[in-house]
Amino acid sequence: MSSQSYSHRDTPLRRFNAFWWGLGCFGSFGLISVVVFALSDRAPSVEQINAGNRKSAIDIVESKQADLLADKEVEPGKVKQVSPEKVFDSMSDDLKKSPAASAVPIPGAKVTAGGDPGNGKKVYASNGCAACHGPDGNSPPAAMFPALGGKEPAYLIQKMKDIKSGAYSTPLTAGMMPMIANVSEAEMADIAAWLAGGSK
Amino acid sequence: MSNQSQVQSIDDAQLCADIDKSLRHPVMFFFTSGAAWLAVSLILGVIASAKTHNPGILGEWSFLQYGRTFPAHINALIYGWGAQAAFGVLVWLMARLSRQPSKNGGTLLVAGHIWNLAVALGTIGILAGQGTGKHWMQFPTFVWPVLLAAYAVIAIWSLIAFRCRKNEHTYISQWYLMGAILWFPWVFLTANLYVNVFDVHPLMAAAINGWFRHALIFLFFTPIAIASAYYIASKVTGRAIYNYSYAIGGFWALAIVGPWAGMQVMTGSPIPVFLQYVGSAATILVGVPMIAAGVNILKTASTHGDAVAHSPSLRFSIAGTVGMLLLALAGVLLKTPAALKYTQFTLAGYGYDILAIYGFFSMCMFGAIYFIVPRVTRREWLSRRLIRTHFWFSIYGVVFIFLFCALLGGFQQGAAQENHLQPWVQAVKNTLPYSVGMTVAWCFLLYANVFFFIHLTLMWLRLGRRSSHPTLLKHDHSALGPHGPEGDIDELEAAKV
Repeated sequence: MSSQSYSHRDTPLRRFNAFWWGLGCFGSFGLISVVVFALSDRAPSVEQINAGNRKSAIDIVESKQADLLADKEVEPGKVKQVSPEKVFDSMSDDLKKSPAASAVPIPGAKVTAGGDPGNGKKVYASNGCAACHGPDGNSPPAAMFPALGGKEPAYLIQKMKDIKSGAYSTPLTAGMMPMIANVSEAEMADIAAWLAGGSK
Repeated sequence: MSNQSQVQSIDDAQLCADIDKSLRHPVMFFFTSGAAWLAVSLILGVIASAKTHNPGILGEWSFLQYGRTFPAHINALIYGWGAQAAFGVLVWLMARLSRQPSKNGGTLLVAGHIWNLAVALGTIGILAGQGTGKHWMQFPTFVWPVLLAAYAVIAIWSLIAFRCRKNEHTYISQWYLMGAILWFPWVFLTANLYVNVFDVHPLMAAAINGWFRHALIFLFFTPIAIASAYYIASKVTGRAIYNYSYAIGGFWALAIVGPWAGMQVMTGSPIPVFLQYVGSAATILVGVPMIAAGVNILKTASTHGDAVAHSPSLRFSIAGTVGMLLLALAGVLLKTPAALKYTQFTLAGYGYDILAIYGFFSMCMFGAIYFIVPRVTRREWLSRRLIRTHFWFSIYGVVFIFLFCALLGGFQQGAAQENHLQPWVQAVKNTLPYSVGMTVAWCFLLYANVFFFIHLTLMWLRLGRRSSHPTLLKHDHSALGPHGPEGDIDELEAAKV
């Protein structure tokens, strides 16, 4: 440690300077960020423009609704709010029309199979389906066989096709293979329509 | 030895003792509260990890759900343990290397308490559901300015100590410490302003958040850990650094490459493509300064194999240095654009973070703590067995987490996620054994660190051994007991009177 020359740097002025320069340095990082951010080109993004458009549309709708529901002076000094039915009356006829039928399926609605339930009942009986699924498709003799009544036709048709082709194969479907082998695709649709319709 | 140099070395030893005494309470406060936060973080880590494979464990109390315990775990690890261990080492090492006793012990203690209060409020805020959801910035937004102010009050005195240093020579550790002192406010302030204050595009805010995490590792935790490993390696072996030019070159390489890393976390997202590739390249190139420092430290310690085996501080520091080299390798394996396809959304990123924070940084900090604490408390460590338990369970835990769970599990999970012929749930099921393995590894680390915390607390209470013989990890059985003769200090003090 003979090369040490103590204390030539350690002066109060140097400490004072180091303190303020140090804190200034820490702070300058924030200052630089603020300046860079302020000077940077911040054109609004597509999301921001869309959000602004949505907001102004909502503002228009809400102000219209507020106008329609405005308080009405029924007699001097007595103010009553317009009831919603009155508001409905003052709407344009366009808005009051019931919606037209749509090609888009409504979630939860039953889809019809397009098959002939009467023929389905005959095919069901003649191919021995009742042996496992019961005469009405809903009263299987053992718990391992599925009840079929009321199921979605599309589901039933797909299952029958898969079992016939072997795409869906379990020990149970192996027993069903010889029976389903004689059923055509049109007949499958009929069976499905009969089962889905409550198998009456 | 001439009479004058003897006088000088006695003066110097007296100065070092003064420095140690002036920093006893702040340094012990940082280390002990850091170790307590480490234990808290590990408990939360065990819970979060257990929730990934047993979601029903600990019931449905919202405070302990994965979405809250995981961010609380990682933030407590970084701000509670990592930053405070770094502050303790930074403050003490800079004072020692600049030969400047601290005049601001009380200020440091107050700032340390404010830091702890802010971290506690932040952690409780996360657990109460008030987290921001931004990785490593999950503390409610009122916390970060408090942390920054406390940091400024803690670090400014080290900057002054360096400016007023009494040695002509600037040690390599001082370079790294100065880097860390100036880089932390840059990274922390800039990232928090852009992510939490300015109204920037959310996508870019996420990219800045990725940069923040990597910059915190490479520009704060890494330089502090390297500084401490350089110091311990040359101090314990009594040798100069193997090659000073490489050391300086390594520092500047880190300064140049480090700030570019991080935005590869947004690979594939609509941010400018060069940012993603530059991030990837920088995360790989950071290996260059890491190898420069790692090889330098290993070469410095290599002639003293027995010291590496027997000195707890050197053993931990060398393990941390090996961890750093593994981190450099992991950067190459995990962060190349081709590998990111598999690792980007898997356990692998978490494993990389844990390797950086525990396998590399924390191991170096443990090494420094085992060196510093006996000097500032003037007591020796109580138990070799506790130190050994701490060392080996840390090694088991971190190797387990990184090698088996994060690296192998990450790639397996990534490959399963990429396989479009399998349902997504299959990818989740594939990682189940690795998730269980993570929990086991966190339990190892928790076991190691609960004992470390107890050991450290006893040392702060000055219940360490009153002896001038350091606690070495030797297996000798002498009549005097494993630690050498007791009571030397008492005898010396009695002889003085």
